[in-house]
Amino acid sequence: MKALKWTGGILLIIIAVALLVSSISAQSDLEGLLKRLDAQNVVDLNPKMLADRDRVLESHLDNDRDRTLRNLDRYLERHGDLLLLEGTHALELTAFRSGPIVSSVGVLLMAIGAALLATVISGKAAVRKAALYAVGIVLLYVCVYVVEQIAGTSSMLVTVLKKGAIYALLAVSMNLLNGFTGLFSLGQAGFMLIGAYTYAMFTIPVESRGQVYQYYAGGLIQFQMPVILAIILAGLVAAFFAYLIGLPVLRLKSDYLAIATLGFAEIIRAVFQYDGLGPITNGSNLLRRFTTFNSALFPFIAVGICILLIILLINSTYGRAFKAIRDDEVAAEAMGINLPQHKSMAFVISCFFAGVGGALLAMYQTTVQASAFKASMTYEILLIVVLGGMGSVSGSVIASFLFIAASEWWLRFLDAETVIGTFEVPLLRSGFRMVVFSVIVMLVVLFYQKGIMGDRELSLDMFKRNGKEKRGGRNA
Amino acid sequence: MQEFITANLPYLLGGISVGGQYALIAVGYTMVYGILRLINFAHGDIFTVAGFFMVYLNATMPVAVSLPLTILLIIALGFSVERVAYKPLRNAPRMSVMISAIGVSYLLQNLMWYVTGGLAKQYPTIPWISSSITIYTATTKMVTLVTPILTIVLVALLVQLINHTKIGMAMRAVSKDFETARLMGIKIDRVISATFIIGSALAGIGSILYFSNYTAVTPTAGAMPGLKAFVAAVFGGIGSIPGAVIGAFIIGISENIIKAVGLTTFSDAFTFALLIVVLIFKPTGLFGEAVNEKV
Amino acid sequence: MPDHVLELKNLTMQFGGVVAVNDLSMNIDKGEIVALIGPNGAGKTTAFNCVTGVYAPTNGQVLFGGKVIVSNHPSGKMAKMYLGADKDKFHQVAAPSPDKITRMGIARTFQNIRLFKTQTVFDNVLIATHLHRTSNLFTAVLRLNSSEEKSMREKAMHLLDIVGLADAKDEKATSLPYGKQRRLEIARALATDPTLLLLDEPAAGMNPQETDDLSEFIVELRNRFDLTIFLIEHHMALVMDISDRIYVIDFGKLIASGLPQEVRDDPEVITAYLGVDED
Repeated sequence: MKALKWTGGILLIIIAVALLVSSISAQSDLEGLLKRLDAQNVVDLNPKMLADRDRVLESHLDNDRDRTLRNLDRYLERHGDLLLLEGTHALELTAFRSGPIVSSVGVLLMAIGAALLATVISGKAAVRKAALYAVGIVLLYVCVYVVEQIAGTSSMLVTVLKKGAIYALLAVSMNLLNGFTGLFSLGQAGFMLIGAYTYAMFTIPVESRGQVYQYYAGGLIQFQMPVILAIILAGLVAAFFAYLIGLPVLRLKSDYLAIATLGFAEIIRAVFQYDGLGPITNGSNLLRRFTTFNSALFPFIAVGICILLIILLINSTYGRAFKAIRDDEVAAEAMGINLPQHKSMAFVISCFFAGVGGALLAMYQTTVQASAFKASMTYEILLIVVLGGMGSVSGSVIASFLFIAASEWWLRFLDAETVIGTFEVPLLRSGFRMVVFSVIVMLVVLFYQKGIMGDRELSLDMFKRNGKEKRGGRNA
Repeated sequence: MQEFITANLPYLLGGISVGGQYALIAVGYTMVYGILRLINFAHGDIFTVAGFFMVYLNATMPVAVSLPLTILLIIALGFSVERVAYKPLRNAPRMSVMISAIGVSYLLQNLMWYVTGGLAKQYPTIPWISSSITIYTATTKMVTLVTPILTIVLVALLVQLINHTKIGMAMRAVSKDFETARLMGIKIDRVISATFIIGSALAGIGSILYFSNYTAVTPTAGAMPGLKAFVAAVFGGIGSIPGAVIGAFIIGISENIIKAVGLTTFSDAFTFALLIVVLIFKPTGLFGEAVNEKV
Repeated sequence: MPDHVLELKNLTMQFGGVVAVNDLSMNIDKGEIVALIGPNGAGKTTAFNCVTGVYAPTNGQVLFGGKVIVSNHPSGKMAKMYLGADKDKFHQVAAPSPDKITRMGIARTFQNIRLFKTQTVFDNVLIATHLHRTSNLFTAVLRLNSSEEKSMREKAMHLLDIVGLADAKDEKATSLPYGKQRRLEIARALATDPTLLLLDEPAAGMNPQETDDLSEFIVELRNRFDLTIFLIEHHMALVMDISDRIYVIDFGKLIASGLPQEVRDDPEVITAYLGVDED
């Protein structure tokens, strides 16, 4: 068995390396491939053909894969009769076209192989479990990547994935506070706003600032930060404000805390729209032209790291203290847990991630405006948390994707006036989608109070336990 | 001096008038909170829906019919929201009920958006109260004068009701101790329904007065006045009706003073800043009672 | 003479116009089991709450190991309303929060059991080891504290073994029967490494068999962990059985104190418990 795992692991890694090398070489050697296709050396004689080929190479140099593929298709279609498209060349072409998919399969195989080797080397149950999770996570990312390659970056599915991932982070960060620490805060939109603005303000290219800050002579900030740093800064600024706001507010109980944080969010919104701060925030005008992302992998990786950190926190001794505070403040305090310190910690951390989420949301939207960060945005995230289950990270993640998919995609048809034959379907017109959607939300809130996951988590153990129960019944 | 008054009188009058409108909404918040310990987030939207009822009803019938009908319909709406969205959660954690209230607010807003197509609707002119009047040097609508007077009359009636009728006594009992009141045979559901009926009726009247002052209603028009009225209720000490009214007038007037000074961007923020200051230094508000948790 | 483990000096707690604890002075020495008894509403739990920092007393001091940990005197509005004695005796003000007092080494259980309801039996105890952590947020999140985490878990398991709940460690705390919940609360309190343990009606709701077991268990804990125990209890059999000394209060005032036999025969105590014959 052990030998089998060894050989299996090594074999997988070898295959993976082969796949990766071949796909990478196919990617990098497009020029060579085009030369080989042109067996009769006609390109240089045909100016139209030459222009088409150069367009392919140019877009390839620009690293714009979608455009490269489009240009390549056109090139082959127009001049296919003059090119050699048989045998190994056809294979090479396929390798180029499916390069990303091949390389992602390579990455997946590599991960499986590495996981196999890791389990045989250490042999510990914990390592086995970690390896399984790691493979699962890699599989998820590979799937996202492949879907994006097949469906296209701007398809509805990929849009939902992008926005869903960002909302997942926003929901999980809110859940950390409301579900795990029992602090009912409604300030989420305010901290998202701080994050979004911080990010946007620091990543607008200097040359674009004149246009963006057109009413404020280009604004005060005259430099541009790297994206990753700006995202972290977005979180830190939100966290800093959370710390200050938390000092007075966290002493309040349940609904007073809710209304006070809601109030702070409104104050933040007003401050960011204030004309006097225009050179920094651009007043009530849009911020735009800052760095954004193209691929869904970017939000997935950023959100994945953040949620991983939150999960590690929840399962640490601090996370246990948070849950104790949620369950019974008096008992928690009697067990030596410093309430102000821990509440502040939970609040600051939650707001840090809300800030990061805000930054990602800004990148997704490509523009930000303070007036959009209203209380209704907080309510929406709160409803996601409730749908997923207060106190369940996986619940929040699942609910985010469902929420975004339902509201942006699946229920879209409700907004379109539809005529079947001569029968005009009643009620269907703009806005009906959100009505149906809010009715569904209300039904869940009323009749399915625990949400999708309750306070449980999706885990491997859960499947195992379910399996056991189904097979042998529970041994009491 | 003359100039100062000329410049500021409209703001002061506006403040008093808006304060009265906030007061009518705030009473609904404070009564519901007093009895259910629930921030009824949907109350502001009920207020907006009343605005739309008036718009649509007035299109087909005379004011003398549409006005009372609006109030009746809004009472029915408030009553059914309680029955459908809050009553099933009577024994659930408080947070669930609050979330349900947020859900109702979300639903009502989306529904209004659907019905109106997201467009602002012209609010009808109501004879007499929409007519102009000149006080000293300021020209304003009649509603500015009517609001504070009507508010005070209605609240005085309400206080009489609470202090001198059987249902009023039941309300006081339930707000003091929900469980004991239930054990004493008070029909809790009836008391709660009565509370929502009164709250919605006042919000309906407040809505008519409020929107008469503006020209149009939008689906989110009530969100901000709703929140401010809630702040007024907290400011005055949640659960206390006179507190809510005084709080509402203070907020209405001070936000108009802020506008007069030229800081319009901060008029909303000021209200919330006031709320936070009150919560920190006197969490029970001006007239609220402290409640201690037993260990 | 060594310092008392716990000493109350003229402790008074007044809520509005009601004096719940009135001029209560007492002391407990190392290794003793001392009971505080009295009729319902006599102010026993309020006294506990003053010691553990839940309430700041209106007047008086609490000394732990000879050091003043809690101290107050009537001031502000209370100076005019104050109905108790020794108004001007103390000048110091110290009102540490309950968590600080727990960290000093005083742990407690609650009269109306306050377990962490959504947590397992094991996690309930594990949470109480949090206060002695040396890890900070970053080392804990990044799992750089695995040895500490391991010792926390071992300690929690060890305590569950001692209270006899090791088998139930993965059950939800609230699914345990009443008696076991009380034991779990004791295990949780012990996880904070106290030198003084305050038990608020540990036998409430237990049947006679469970109560007998509890008596033995308390004595065993005292010996095993080198504890000093201060308890409130209504169960006279248990009190008489294990207490080294007893304090009796009624209407917040100390009415008797001494060895169990002395207290049992004290006429004032009998009156307090049975009431005065009106004719």
